[in-house]
Formats: sequence, C-alpha cells, structure tokens
Amino acid sequence: MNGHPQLEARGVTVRFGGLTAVDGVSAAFAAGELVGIIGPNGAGKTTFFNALSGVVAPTAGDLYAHGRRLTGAGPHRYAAQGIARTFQTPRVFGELSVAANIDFGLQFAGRHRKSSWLLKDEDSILHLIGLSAQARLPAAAVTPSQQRLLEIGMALATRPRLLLLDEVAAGLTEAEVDSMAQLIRRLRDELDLTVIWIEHAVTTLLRYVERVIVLHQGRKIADGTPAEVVRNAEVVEAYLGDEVAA
Amino acid sequence: MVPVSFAVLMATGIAVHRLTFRRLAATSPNVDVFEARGLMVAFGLMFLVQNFAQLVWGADLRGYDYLTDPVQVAGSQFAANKLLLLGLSLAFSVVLIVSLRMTLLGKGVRALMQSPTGAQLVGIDTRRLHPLMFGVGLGLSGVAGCLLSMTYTITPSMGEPYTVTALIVITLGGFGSMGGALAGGLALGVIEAVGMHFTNPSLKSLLSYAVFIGVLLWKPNGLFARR
Amino acid sequence: MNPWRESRVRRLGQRLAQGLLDRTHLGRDLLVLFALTGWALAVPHYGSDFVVSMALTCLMYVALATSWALFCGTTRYLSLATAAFFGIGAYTSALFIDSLGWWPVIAAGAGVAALVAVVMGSAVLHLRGTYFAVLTFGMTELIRHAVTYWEKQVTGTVGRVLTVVPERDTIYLTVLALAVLAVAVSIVVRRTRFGLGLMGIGADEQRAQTLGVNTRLAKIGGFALTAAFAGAVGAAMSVRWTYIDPATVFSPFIGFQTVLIALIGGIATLWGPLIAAVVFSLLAETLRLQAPQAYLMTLGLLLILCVLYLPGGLASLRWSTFGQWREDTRAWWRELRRDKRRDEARENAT
Repeated sequence: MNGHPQLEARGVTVRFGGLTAVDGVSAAFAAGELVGIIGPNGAGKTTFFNALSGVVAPTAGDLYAHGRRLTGAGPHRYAAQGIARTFQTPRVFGELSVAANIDFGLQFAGRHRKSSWLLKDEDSILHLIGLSAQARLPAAAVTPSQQRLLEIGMALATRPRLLLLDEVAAGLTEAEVDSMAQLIRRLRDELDLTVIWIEHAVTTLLRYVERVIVLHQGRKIADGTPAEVVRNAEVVEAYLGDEVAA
Repeated sequence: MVPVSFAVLMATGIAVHRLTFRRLAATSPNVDVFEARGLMVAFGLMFLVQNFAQLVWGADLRGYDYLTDPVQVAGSQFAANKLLLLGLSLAFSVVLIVSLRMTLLGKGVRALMQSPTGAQLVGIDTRRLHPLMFGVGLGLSGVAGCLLSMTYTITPSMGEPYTVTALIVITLGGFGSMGGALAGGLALGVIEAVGMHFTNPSLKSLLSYAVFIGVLLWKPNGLFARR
Repeated sequence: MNPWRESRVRRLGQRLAQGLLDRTHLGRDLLVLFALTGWALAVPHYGSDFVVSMALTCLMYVALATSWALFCGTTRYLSLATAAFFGIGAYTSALFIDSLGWWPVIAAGAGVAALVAVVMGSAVLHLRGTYFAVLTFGMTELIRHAVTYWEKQVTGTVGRVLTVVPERDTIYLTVLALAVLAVAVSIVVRRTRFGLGLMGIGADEQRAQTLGVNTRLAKIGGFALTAAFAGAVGAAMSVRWTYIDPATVFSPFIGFQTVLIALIGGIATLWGPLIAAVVFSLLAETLRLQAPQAYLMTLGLLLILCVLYLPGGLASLRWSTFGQWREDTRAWWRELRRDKRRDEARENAT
C-alpha cells in the first residue's frame, strides 16, 4: 500500500513480573510473506503473537501496522486493521454451530473490510477450509483437528491481511501436517495474505516457508531463509540439533 | 474462647466444603464459572446462616465487657481489649504468612493456588488439602468474629461490612499475595481511622470505598500484584 | 449486477430467510408475550387490591430479572448493583415528580441510572467475575451511604414523602409496560449483532476481542441498558410506597432477589426469569410477612441447591435431569465408600 511494512515490531519487550518472556524483538513483515517462527518451548513465541495481535500490551517497544502505531490498542483494533490470529488450543464457541462460529468474525471485524470473493460469506469460508459438511454441527462436537481448521476459518472470517497461526499442526500425523502446510500456502497465494506461522514440526515448516525467525529465551537469534537458518550455529545449538541441517 | 471458635468454624468449613464446593469443582467447566457459582453459593450460605442466627438468637444488639480497662502505652491510653485484638490478629497473620512460606504444608497450599492439576501431579493430596484450607480460612474468620465481639456490638449481620472490606483488602493487596493483603488491611484501617478523625465518622464506609476505587483506577491489579 | 453486489443481495436474502425460519421461535415468543400481557391487563379490572398489589410486585421483578439476565446472563458478569439503580430511579422520582410529569420522570429515572452505570461500568467492567460482583455490591453500598449522608447533613431529612401520586392503575400499567418492554427488548437483542457480541463475551471474551468485538463498549452498553430498566422501575415503584428512604430503596435485598430469580429461572434463557419471578412473588407475599427469617433461609437454601444441582435454572429442567441426579448421587456414594476403603488400606499398610 504505502511504503511501510504490513506489520512491524520494534524492540518489543513483554515482562510478566520478574519474567521477561519477550526481550527486545524487532521484525518487519511485508505483504505476501510466508514466515515461520520456531524455537524451543518457553522461547516466547506465543507471547510474541499475543503482542502482535494486541492481546498483551508490550512492556516496552512499539508495534506498527502500515506505519500506524498500534501499541497498547485493544485486540479489536488490531483485528480491525486486518491482523487475525489463531490460538494454540482451539478456542471455538462450543455451543454455536460451526457455521455460526465462522459467521461471528464476519459480523464484527470482517464486517467493514473488503475481501476477495473467496471470503464473501460463511459458506465460501467453510468450503475453503474444507468443513462444509460439518456446517450445522455444534462446534464442540467436531474432532480436534476439525476444530483446528475451524480456528483458522474463524480467523479468516475477519477478512485479514495478515494471519498469525499458532502451532496449527500440533498433534497431527505427518500426512496431516503436510496437508495443513499446503492449505496455508494456498491461503497465502489465493487470498494474498501475509502468514506468520509458529510451529514445532520444523522439517515440514522449513519446506514451505520463505523466511524463518528463531526465538530463544525471548530474544531473536536468527532471521533469514531456511537454508541460512539451519546452518546458523546458535540455532543448531539451541534448538535444531545436527539432523535438520543434513 | 479463641481456640474454641477456631475449632468450631474450621469443622464447619470442612463440612461446607465437602457438601458444596467439592461438587462445584467437579461440575464446573472452567475456573470462571466455578468462581461465579462459588460466589452464588457463598451468598446463599450468607442468607442461610444470617437468618438462622436471627431466628435462633433474635435480631437485638448484644455485647459484653471484657478487659475494658485502659492501658498506658507510649503516652496514650488504649483499651486493653483493643490491644489484645491488635496483638492477636497480627500474631495470627504472621503465623499464617510464615507457615505458608516455610512449612511443607504451606508450600503445598501455594502450589495448589497456582495450579490445582500440577499440585495433584506432584503428589499433593488436593482432596484433603482443599477442604483443610477452606476450613482454616473459615476458622480464622471465626477468630476474627470472636475478637471483634470484645469491642463491638454483636448482631447477626455484623459480618456484612467486613465482607466487602475483606475483598477490598484482597484486591488492594494484589491477588494471591498474603503480605500484600496484610499491608493493605493495615493501611485501610489507618486510612479509615485517620479519615474518621478529620472528617465525619459517618463517612467511614464512604472513605474506604473511595480509596478502593481510587486505587483500582490507578493500579488495576492491586498495589502489590505479583502477576 | 456485478458479482460482488449480487452475492451481497443473496446473503441478505439468506439472512432474511433464516430470520423467518427463526420465526417459529420468534412467533412463539411474541405470541406468549401477547397472551401474558393480555392476562396482566385484565387484573386491575377483576382483582382485589391485594391481588393487584401482588401482581405489581411480580411485574416489578419480571422487569428487573429479565433486564438483568439480558446483560448478566449472556456475558456472565454478575452484577449486584440492581438496588443502586433502583434507588437512583426512586430518588429521581421523589425529587422531580412535582416539576416533571409522570412519564418524563420515569424516563429521567432510567436516564440518570444509565449515566451512573456508564461511570460505574467504566471503572469496574474490566475485572473478572467475582471481583466485579462484589465491587458492584460495594458500589451499591457506597451510593447508599452517600445518599444517607447527603440527606442527613445537607438536606436534613431522613426519607422523602411523595405528594403527587398517580392512580393505582396508572402505576400498574406503567410497570406492566416496563415488564413487557424488558421481555421485548430481550427478544430483539438476542437477534442482533449486539446480542451476539454479548454472547461472545460470555463464552470467551478474549476470543471475541480478537474477532473484532469492542468488548468495553459492549459491556458498558449492556450494563447501562440493565441500569436504565432498574431505574425506570424504581421511579415507578417509589410512588407506590409514597415514602422512601435510603435503607428501603437501596436495600441490597432487591439486588439479591433479582439475581436469585434470574439464576433459578435460568440465567441465559428468555422465559426462565419470568417464570421464576412469578413463583417467587407468590412465595414472598405468602411467607415473608409470617416468617421473614424462614423465607430468607429458604431463598438461601434454594440458591445453593440451584447452583449446585441445576445451574441452568428451572428453564433447563428436563426429564433427563432427574436421571442425571440419580446417577450423581450414586457416584457420590461410591466415591465416599472408595475414600473410606482407601483410608483403611493406608492405615493397614503403616
């Protein structure tokens, strides 16, 4: 749009009492990027996502969306700016039907936002994520992996420009992880989204993303292409080990 | 009388917990619902107990005299029973805080506070500990009532203003911080007393609420919030 | 038409169709409301003074409980401030009924209460359930003490007498109108975006926020709506009592009874609070004068039992519920025996 990156974090620090979960992380995300974030447990990845989506206000540092300063605004403002996220454990509205869950986002953040015809109503979104058959079922009654897809669908219903996916492939079989990764790639391509993806299934992730950020103990220790990152000594020592580089 | 009231209330507390809160913990889908339902149950109990007391003992004001002779301390005169009240309540608070920090049981309780499932996983018998702590809490309020009865009039609803005050103190002190609660309680008492002296005595409750709301607006998580 | 516009029209059509399908519910709801209104309208003509008085109390609690459940039932923010808004309405009425007319003073009661709710809500609506509940209770007490103090020191009175009192039937019709309005607003709000937002807040507030709901605004709005109804009802009832003082109109009991009725009736349902309001008004009028303590104790016990065994309220009572209770009692008994056996085993082992 203008010259600014779609989302930019500058020196974001998040402290909870004595614990520094995120320590001075800076990163800029341009439109259309498919970025992966990896790191050991406790590295601050989800907290970073919380800061990026406004769920947690950073203790220090700033967040900019298209050059507009969003630090300290509530999550609904972030959603209005086109930043959508999923949660690690699917948080769906259990008593509503699957279709109604998707409709929720369309009613609020997605209401005034332009979008492609792929996201024009709940049926198209259901079709996009492959849950059309389950539309009338209560959300609590579908399987966990279907709930994962529903999570993504709910985020898409807000008609975002940027999608934050938090470990959407956790607990899936290898084949399922692969199809999830393909879905993510498709979403990025067809919907013209920027996608930031936290994942532990590192091998799969590295095959699909174009850029990888590595967090360790709250700090960013690497930021580059998958090829560069797997060779980074600090990353190998902290997280990857020798097998991935091979 | 103090040990007796403690024992009686503690037993009541354990019984109440077994009858009500255990079922609540089992049937509530998440923490917020559990808290909301627990609050409702507690209010129901308040109705029940207060009116039971009113039925049995009548609504008239009562009181008794005990240790009312003045005592000279540092140049001012205080009633002996009020000094006893201060001393005993401080002593109990300190014992509670110390035992929570130092003893194994205390550690177990703090673990339970932070993560009930985690505490179970490391072998703490939460099904015994939960009612026990509830009983201790209730026992302490029995002690408080006993001590207060020395200096103030007794009515079935004498506990009402303290319910809100208690929550004000907990909120001011920061959720989960015992030392904070103690400090908050002392501070509130001082503010109330000083405020009453300089303005009108009937403004006492007004003052404590005003202070409370003011602090909350300034620091939404309490003065000593840990999290 | 371009494809984009065409799909918008189709969506609109789908939504209308869904609303019309929903009409089975909507139709049923409106029909019941209509019938009840008709029945209630007949009471002043055919009933004695006592019956009318009882019906009036009943309608008062229908209005209070339904409007309370509209916000607090959906968002699960349990407010105990009903008495505060009720009292504010009552005092507005007492102070201004001479200068304004009847209907303006009712509206004024609603307006002032809503304003106070916005202020109160901005301060405390960010807190979690328990703290919100007790804080609203505390603020009610605060307002009560403030008004008592003001009256005593500044205006030199204890209570206030209302001299301009409309007819019994006018008061009855007003309260009936308020009750009908409360139910009607509940029916409508459930079908709007606002109602959806409130439900989202109750189900998972943070998730709703990330999906674009401005929760702060929604909560304050809902809270103000509840307060407006309570204020209007308070304004109407004050003339019924003709003498008001802070202790009666700000009595926390009003708040408790409202919450109780809504909870026992079924906090998130539409008709639950209404049914419970009727039952409780009957109970109150018969028991309260004879044995006030027994009445309050029964209330307390009922509340406990309801929360423990029937959390959805009376409205959720089904045949299967009884079967569930039987199962639960059996399980509890088994658990007790297992605990005893475990303790014995432990003793024998040492």
